[in-house]
Amino acid sequence: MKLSKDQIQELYAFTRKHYVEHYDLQTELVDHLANGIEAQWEEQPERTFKDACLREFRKFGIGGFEKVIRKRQNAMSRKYWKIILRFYAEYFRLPKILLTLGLTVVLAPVFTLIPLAYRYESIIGLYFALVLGLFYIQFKNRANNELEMVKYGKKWVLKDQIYTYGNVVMIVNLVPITLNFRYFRNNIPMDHMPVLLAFAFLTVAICILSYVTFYIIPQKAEELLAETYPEYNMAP
Amino acid sequence: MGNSKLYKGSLNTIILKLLEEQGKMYGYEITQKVKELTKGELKITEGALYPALHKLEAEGLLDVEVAKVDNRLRKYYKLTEQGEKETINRLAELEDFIRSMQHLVNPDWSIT
Repeated sequence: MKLSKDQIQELYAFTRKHYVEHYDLQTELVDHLANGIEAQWEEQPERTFKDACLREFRKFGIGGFEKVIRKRQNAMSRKYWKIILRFYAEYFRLPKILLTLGLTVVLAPVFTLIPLAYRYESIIGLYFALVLGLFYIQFKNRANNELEMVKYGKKWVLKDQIYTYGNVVMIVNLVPITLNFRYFRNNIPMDHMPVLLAFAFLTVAICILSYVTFYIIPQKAEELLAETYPEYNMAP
Repeated sequence: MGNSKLYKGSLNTIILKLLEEQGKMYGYEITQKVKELTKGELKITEGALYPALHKLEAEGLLDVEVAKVDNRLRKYYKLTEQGEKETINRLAELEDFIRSMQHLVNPDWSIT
């Protein structure tokens, strides 16, 4: 005996009830539960759908789907960072490397235009301003992503990663916070050209990371999602 | 079930080997196949299988395909080119491991 369409929908509701919020994982677990239930029915056809479903669910152990959900997030996070690195590798071809080095070399002398007494604070301020800008984009786009989710009724793990930008903003935020430590404030000589070059390089690197995660990857989102999830465009 | 700890470290290799033989498989099918091949000695738990599959997929060793079967979508896994190479490496490693263990527990025994 095979499961009906309604029973499949009940299984989707069952996974949602057990905290599986992403459609890609729901689909896989629904098929698993359905196979298990059908196998039970072959041996015991009188068993109810609900009873068979619970028996199948119990095989996932005491934590239910919790471990599968957590590990899925980890795996997707790894995949997302691999995508970022892939774009980075594509980005860093010779002309762009020269551009990056060129920007670094141009930016370093610009820092010398800031009076020495305010130089360190100004650079930290610049990073904080960048973080604020990134936060703004993230919150704005996260709302759009949630609206889309409500509209289509489906969430995808990778899509969430793309529109929370892999928490890059948190990582970028660590830079000015770290630089704000008194030890660094008192010991970094802001009148040395190599130090200014390092700051210029750091600034350019942060800008490129932000550009890739906040602009390039979301632009390719649909393509990446279709590549990752064959069901993305065929889901009912 | 036998000593699950002994099997645990080999779960990924078991999955890769099965996919190498069968071409493509879905999660439930893998659990059943392993049960059948080991005559119930090894039962892959659902809580361990899917994380392993997702990890192998994220590492680029597995590719996925989705097909509509019986009112629902089914996700199939198959080896990528990189996955095929990795399967050979991991099987060789596993064989080395088995050989070393055999030497340790039974020095007179050998596999050719």
